[in-house]
Amino acid sequence: MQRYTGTGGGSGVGSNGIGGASSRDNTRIESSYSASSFSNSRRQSQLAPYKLKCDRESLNGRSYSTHVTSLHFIMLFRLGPPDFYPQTTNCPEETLTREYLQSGYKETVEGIEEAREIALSQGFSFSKPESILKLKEQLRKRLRAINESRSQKRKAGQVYGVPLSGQLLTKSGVFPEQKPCNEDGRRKWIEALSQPHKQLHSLSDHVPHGYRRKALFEVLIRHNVPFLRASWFIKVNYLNQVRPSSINVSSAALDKAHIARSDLWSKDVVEYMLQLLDEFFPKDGSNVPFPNKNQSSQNYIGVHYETSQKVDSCSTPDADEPSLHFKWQYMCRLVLWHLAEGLMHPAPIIEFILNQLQEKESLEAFELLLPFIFDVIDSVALSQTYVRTVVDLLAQKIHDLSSNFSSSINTSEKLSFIDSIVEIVRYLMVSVPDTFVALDCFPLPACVVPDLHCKNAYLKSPDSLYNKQFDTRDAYLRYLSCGYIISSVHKRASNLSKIVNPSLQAHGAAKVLQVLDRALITGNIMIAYTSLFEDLLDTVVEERWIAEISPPLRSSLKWIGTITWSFICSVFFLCEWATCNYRDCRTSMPRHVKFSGRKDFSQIYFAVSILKLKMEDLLNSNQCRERKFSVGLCGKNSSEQDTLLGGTVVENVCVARNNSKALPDRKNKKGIFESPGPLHDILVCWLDQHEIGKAGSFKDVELFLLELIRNGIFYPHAYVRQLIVSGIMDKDDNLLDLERQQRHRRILQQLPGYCLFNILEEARIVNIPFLSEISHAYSNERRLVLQGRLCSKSNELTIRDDVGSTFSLQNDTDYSTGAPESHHAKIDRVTQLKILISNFLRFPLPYTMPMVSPDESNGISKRISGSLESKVDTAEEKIGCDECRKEKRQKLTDDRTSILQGFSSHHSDDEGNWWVKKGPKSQESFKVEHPPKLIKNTSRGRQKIVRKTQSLAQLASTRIESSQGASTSHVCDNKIGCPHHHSGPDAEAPKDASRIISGIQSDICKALKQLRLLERRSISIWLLKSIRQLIEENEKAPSKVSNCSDVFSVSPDDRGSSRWKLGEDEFLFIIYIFDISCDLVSAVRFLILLLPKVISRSSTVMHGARNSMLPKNREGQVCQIGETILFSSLQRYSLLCITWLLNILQTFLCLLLIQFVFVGSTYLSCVVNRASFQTCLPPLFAFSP
Amino acid sequence: MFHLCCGSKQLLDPDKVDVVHRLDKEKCLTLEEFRLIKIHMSIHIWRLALHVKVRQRVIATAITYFRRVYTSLSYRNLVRKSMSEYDPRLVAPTCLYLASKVEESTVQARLLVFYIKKMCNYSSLFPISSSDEKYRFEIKDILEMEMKVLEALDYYLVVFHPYRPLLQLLQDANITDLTQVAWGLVNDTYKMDLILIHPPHMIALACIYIACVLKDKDLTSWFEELRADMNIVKNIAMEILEFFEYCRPDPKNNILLPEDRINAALNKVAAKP
Repeated sequence: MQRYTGTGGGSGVGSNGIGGASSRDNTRIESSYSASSFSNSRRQSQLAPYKLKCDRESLNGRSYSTHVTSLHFIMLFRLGPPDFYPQTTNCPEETLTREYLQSGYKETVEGIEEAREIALSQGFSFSKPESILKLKEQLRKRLRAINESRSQKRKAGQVYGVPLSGQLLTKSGVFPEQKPCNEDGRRKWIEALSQPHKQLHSLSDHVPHGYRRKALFEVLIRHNVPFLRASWFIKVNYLNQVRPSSINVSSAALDKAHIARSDLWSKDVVEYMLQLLDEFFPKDGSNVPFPNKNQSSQNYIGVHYETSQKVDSCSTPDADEPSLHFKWQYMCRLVLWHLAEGLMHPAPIIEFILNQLQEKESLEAFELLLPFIFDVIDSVALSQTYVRTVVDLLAQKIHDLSSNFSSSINTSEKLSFIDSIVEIVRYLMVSVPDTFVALDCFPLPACVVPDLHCKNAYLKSPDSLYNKQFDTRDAYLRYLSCGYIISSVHKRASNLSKIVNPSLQAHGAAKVLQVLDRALITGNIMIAYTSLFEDLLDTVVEERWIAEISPPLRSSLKWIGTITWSFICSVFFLCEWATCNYRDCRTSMPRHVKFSGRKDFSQIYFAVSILKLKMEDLLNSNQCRERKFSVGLCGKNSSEQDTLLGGTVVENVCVARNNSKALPDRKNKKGIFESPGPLHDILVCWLDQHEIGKAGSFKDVELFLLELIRNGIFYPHAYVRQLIVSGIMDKDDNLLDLERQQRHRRILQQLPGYCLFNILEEARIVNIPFLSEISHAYSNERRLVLQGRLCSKSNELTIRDDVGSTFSLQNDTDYSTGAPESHHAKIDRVTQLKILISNFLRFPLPYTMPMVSPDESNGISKRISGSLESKVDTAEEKIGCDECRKEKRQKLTDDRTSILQGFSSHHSDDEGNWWVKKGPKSQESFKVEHPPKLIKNTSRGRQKIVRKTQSLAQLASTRIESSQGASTSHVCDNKIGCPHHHSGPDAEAPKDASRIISGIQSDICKALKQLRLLERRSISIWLLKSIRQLIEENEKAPSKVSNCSDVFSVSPDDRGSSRWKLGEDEFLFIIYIFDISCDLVSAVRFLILLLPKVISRSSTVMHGARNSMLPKNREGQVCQIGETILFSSLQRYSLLCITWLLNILQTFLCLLLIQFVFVGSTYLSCVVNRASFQTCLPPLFAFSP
Repeated sequence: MFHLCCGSKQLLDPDKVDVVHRLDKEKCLTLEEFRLIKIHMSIHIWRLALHVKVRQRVIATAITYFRRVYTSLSYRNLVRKSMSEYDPRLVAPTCLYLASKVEESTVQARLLVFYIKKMCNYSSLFPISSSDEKYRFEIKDILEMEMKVLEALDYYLVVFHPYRPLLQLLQDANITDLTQVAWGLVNDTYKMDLILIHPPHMIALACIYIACVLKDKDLTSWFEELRADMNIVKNIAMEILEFFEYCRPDPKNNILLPEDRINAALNKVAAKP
């Protein structure tokens, strides 16, 4: 804080008088305070009254100037000097009035009553701390405004009307005047200047005129004036030459004058140096001999400025003319000095040097000019033009020097020259690599930088090399690092050229997007594939995208280093395209193409197929490479640029090779836990950087992942291990890390280990025996990752889990308690659901057994399924078709409720535990007791929950009852429940799958909906598998039991084993399950599986119609579905069908239909069989055996 | 005038103002307690003055005296007085007595004593632990102390207040409607040591500065024409705001001070060694 300083020297009224007398003299003249007093005092008194005077400036207004009229004066001096109140004749204190006489002098304040002046306070304005803060902020803001406005006005010279003076303004430099002087005096003065002990102060009185330009240099050099003093003299000289226009000028004018002086001085220097050079190299061609060449050349290059003056002065000042070399050296150092001090502009010097270098080709001239290059190198670096010229020149010089052996100079000298030139070039390279990007000076001579492009061998054996060319290992390393700089310059240049290339610029992504969209419709995978991996070139986007991956993960993935960024980004791009759900590629479809199906996930399937293709490609190329390059290294994947800059890449490629070797026998090895290949690593990276909420819903990502897993591209077990290894799940440095962790956990939560079995089994990445081991290990590691978070931040979990709503809650409790029952209960849920479905679909006994992974105990499920099955069976046996319905349904409902209560979505956390703990046991009790009783008995607390579920169950059952009464078509139970009823193949209007859901189905569906996608998927896979098996069984069966014809003669015994039939309702229900599991591939597979059956059946029907043997054969068929319903279902998946099967399947289907109608069915029934499908379909879509 | 007199010489460095005397330090008086006592006694003087009905100028002068007594005068290297030697509870009314004489509106000492007693009796008027006998003094105590205070002040009784420049500046800036607000702020500055540190016109400017912000008047053009260091003005304004932040006056304008701490501090210094 500034101190307030008083200026007054002494005392005024009532002071104790320190230096009183003298100050009093100063203080009497006049007052500038009051206008009236001013005029009054002038008017009346001859006898000058005693007046106080203040030498302080008035607080505002303008300083006095003589030409101002008095009226002006009044206006200008509104406020006098601060805190200065001289006595005036008419001031109230001096004027005695009647009132003052009676009650003494009383000061009155306008605007304030006398009584209130004490009480006034502003404290209440500051009762709130926030208002004080606001006030403070405003105070600061206003101060800034005032200061800004002041500085602006000051620049324009407006503040006080006249130029600023006093403290507010730094005084413009006062410099010694030059004076005319005779020759002798001048000589003496210069001699004095050259002697350090003479004070400049004394010299400044007689600065002589007459030293200008050449004379000035000559005299300085002759007397070898020290640079400090020489600079002073030069400053004085040029200040006198270019004088500031007046004393009071604005700073802009001062700057201008300064620039003019510098210009003049630079011009003079260049001129003189040109003269010197001309003397060195006269026009007639006779060179001035170079004395002490060996010494000087070294001095010039390296240490010229360090040599002391005395050594350099080869002649005494007063003696003859100093040598040219001495002059040159003096100038050299003067220029260095003045450049550093900013007295000179570098541009004229640089231009001079460059011109001379271009003009004079001799090595001597170069030798002379080289030191100047060192002086101005930093200024050179600032200009691209200069750098270009200098580098061109120097490269040429190096070339000349190294090629021209006939030169007169010896080799060692030449080498030292080359060394210095090389150093200059390298300096420029290091300091302004960006400038080199635009330069076409490449290739630079090998002595400057190694060419890392073509000399890998050169690099590999440094030991032999640096012995020859480099003195030390450091020098060698420096040399190499320059090579790296140049290679990065190359890389940048090529990137830039790519960016500015109009064919690549920004069109890449759009083009690829278009191709992908079109390919999705046309089904042409190859076009999309080539376009994706070739057209997508955008280095800027690549860099940004790659940077988004968390570094620890990136460094821990072993494949990621071996692949190019563009590959990574292509895959990223594809993934984003597949999971992006806000843009529907179908909106951009050509007009004539229409799809009947709803919006599906065909993009995901399409992307997966592209990735699968890529994976195979990679595998093939690896194997090819394996064969080709058994020795040595080669990175097809890693581009030139990438391999160049990393020694590690070499290692990576080796690793890659080893892995590719290991790939074929992966199925049997523990290596399964390692990443299967670069594609997998890229996908992990994508998951790491993909913000789920941003571009696509989580469902898309989930489904995408599932499909990847199913196709053996993505290994969850490898993924979870990579997460653990990379350590990103333990870091919580910043919010970004936490977000990533959450992302990964969210994915992992959706991939429970026990359901993985089915899907991995389908992926066929390992043999079945290893599968259980894998899923076991995966479950453990997954739990580790998820629990790691639980331990640290259990609170966040429940809040942040927005995905799984109820289910994620249950998951959390599951792995937090870690109790085996809960785990099993969870497994049971899937198992039970499978049982329910199989019961509902009336699978024969062997198939009701859901395929639980072997490591999981399925005792419970066995028991349940057994009991349920037997119940259903007995019920069916005992009771006839119409009468049985009610009772059977009741029982079924009971069972169902007991099982399904766990799926109620209304459970709180506690409730979730509740059913988990009681589990299967409670089923019994429920079965025994009657619902109303329960309600009565339940009283409070936990019972309440029971009642809730109970009432739910009741509700469900009553709903079913009522729906029976209503007999709407909505409830399609007429034909489901009883085996004696068969849905006729007659052309029933195709029903939408959603319409069928009711009763048991709706409950199953509800339960299904609460499952995670993976769990649903495992159910759907199991379902397809069972159905396929059943159908195959049944196909075999009729051959054996072909004589069994009548419906009513079917004995209960063989029903279970052979006579499973698929009615329309079941069919639609199955389709619905596939739909809800988002397992469209299974759905299509299922449909295609049925296709030959239906068609063949139809053909027989038609035959039958002709031959009147319809009833017989019909009963033997598994599928009892109308072809219309089948086709309409197929239509639902039109886009999917088209994308995958377009060329084959759809045309085939069209053909099929047409032929079916026109040609006749006999021919077709032979054509359309499974074999034909299998051969026709692309390998991607092959049926699993 | 201020500069010609010793006024400007009397100004002190802020870090010299807030220094606890050696003797007080021995009695474990902290700097904050020292400050609290000063604030408290300023308010005490003001309350007393409300009873005896004097002009604001007298109060201001009295408070300035009070503060000067406990602060060293830099130009004379005068030894300051400690609170243990000079009981602030006695120095405060004495200063008011002296100020009333200097400012030509003399209040009789007996009147002062009377009002002090009255204040002590009516606790509503005298919130500080009401019936504290330690505030009561006799006439002779005051007269005796007057001499001591005069000596402590080095008989330098001239005080320049910001009131006069305030009115002048307000008129110049043509914002006489802000007179009450600015005046109130100047009154408030006497709860601080500002008068000992800054020249009066700077304090006045700072108060105008705050008043402008409070009443949302834009005086930028007027301020920028002033030949005053606006940084200092701002700093003074900040200091005033910081004081209010420290004291947290309630909406009724009562400055709430921790009574028990003040009493404890006063008892500390009053305790016999």
